[in-house]
Amino acid sequence: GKKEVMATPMFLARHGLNVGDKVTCVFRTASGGTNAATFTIVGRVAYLNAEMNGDVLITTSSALSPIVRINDGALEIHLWIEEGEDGDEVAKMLTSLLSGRGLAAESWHQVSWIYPIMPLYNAFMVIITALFFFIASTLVFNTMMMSALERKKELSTMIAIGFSRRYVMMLLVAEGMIIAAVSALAAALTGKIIITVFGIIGIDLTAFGVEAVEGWGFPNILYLTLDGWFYPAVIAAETAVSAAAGILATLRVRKLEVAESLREEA
Amino acid sequence: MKRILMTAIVMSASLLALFAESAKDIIDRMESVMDFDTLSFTAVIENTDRLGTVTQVFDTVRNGNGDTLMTVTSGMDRGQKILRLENEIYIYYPDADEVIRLSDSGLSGSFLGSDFSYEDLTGDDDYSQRYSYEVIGEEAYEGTECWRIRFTARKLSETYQRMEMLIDKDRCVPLAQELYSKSGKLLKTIFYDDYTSGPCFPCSVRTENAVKKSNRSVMTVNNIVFNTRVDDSLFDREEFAW
Repeated sequence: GKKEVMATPMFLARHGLNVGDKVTCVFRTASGGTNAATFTIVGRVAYLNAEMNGDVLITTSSALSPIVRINDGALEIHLWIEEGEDGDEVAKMLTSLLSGRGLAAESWHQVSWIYPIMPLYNAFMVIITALFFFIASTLVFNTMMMSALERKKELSTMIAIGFSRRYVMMLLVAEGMIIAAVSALAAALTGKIIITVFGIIGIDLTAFGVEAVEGWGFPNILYLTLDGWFYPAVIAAETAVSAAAGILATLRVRKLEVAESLREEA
Repeated sequence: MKRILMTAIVMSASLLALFAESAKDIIDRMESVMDFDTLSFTAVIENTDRLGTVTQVFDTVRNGNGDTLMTVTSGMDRGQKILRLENEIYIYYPDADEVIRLSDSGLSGSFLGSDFSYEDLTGDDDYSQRYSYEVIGEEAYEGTECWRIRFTARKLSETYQRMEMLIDKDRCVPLAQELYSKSGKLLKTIFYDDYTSGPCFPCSVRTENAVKKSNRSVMTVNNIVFNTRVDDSLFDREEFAW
């Protein structure tokens, strides 16, 4: 019940205050009137969730309730539901239970300003992912092509001693797919380890000196996650890209002038 | 025949214009019958909203300059004081170490959580300075013949950009007042009743909230005293919090 508050570092910096100073706050009361009270700042508080670190003061409900005239009541109750339950369905059920009492229940989907932009955010992430995949595929493609074209002498020798062109072409494609599958598997395993480690310890954005997401409802510490289906999908995609590169390289093998190639290399 | 008809129409119109009162005359008369030098009263205000009904009591003192001091003497906001000086409002809250100053948009804030704004209860009643007005019709309100007058704010800073008032033709006092937002949306209607004689002052005032339909406020004025000497130190900004 004491008129004491904890202040965020941002609040103290913005208002030029320090611990021990007093601050007067004006409140809108439950009935729509106003009230004001002076509080003593007794400490600094910073939260992992950046949304809590804005221009914010924290105090106890016993200190605040009489000032905003709520006393032992509440204007808003936040309900956490089990993961996997449908928030909209729960909100509908609560609305029917509360009907006639002048109370309303809304799901996070209905009240959050972030939720409507999530599809946009997801589309943006898909574009970024596709861009990185394209760059990686270009590197794989070039590597596979160069690996075939730089071995013209060896390929010509194989054809000269009796291997059929079709067999050589199949060897190239198989070689590319095996290398791609092994390297994609290694990359996926490395990625899984990194994501698991940073999924536990998190990436502290404040360590970089930036708090760009402050007040946007995003946390200052990012915990990495990636859906399980993503790993085999990436392995399959990179193997396919490598196979495509191998097939294109074999088209050169089909047109390879064996005698000329052996003479050039010599 | 045509000439006679035209002459009759012109003469009838002239006679009507002669007897019809202009909006300025009506407002001047209204301000005259409601004029007083100083005023003090005790009021009980009952606010009803979805959380229930809350009753509070406050004393009001008003000097000849229109400065107003209101002190809440009973209820949840007991000890709160509101001082209106020209276009500024100072509020003393018992739990705060400093006086809070409101101006402009703050004047439309809710008084003790009621449907009355600070502007409604402490505002300057000199309508001719603040509004242009016109008679837009005549109608009966609860059996009383009234003029309907539309007020349009002269300044954008006015809390209500448009008002419509029903004024009793007989006593020349407002019976109802519709208050509109800048966008032209009806915010609330205030009903005035139980006028004192002498300076006419409504002792029963109630509101109908057009936005929050479940909200209503009723203010009953008691112990009203006009034109007595008022201590000017009551309206001293420096002395206010003490």
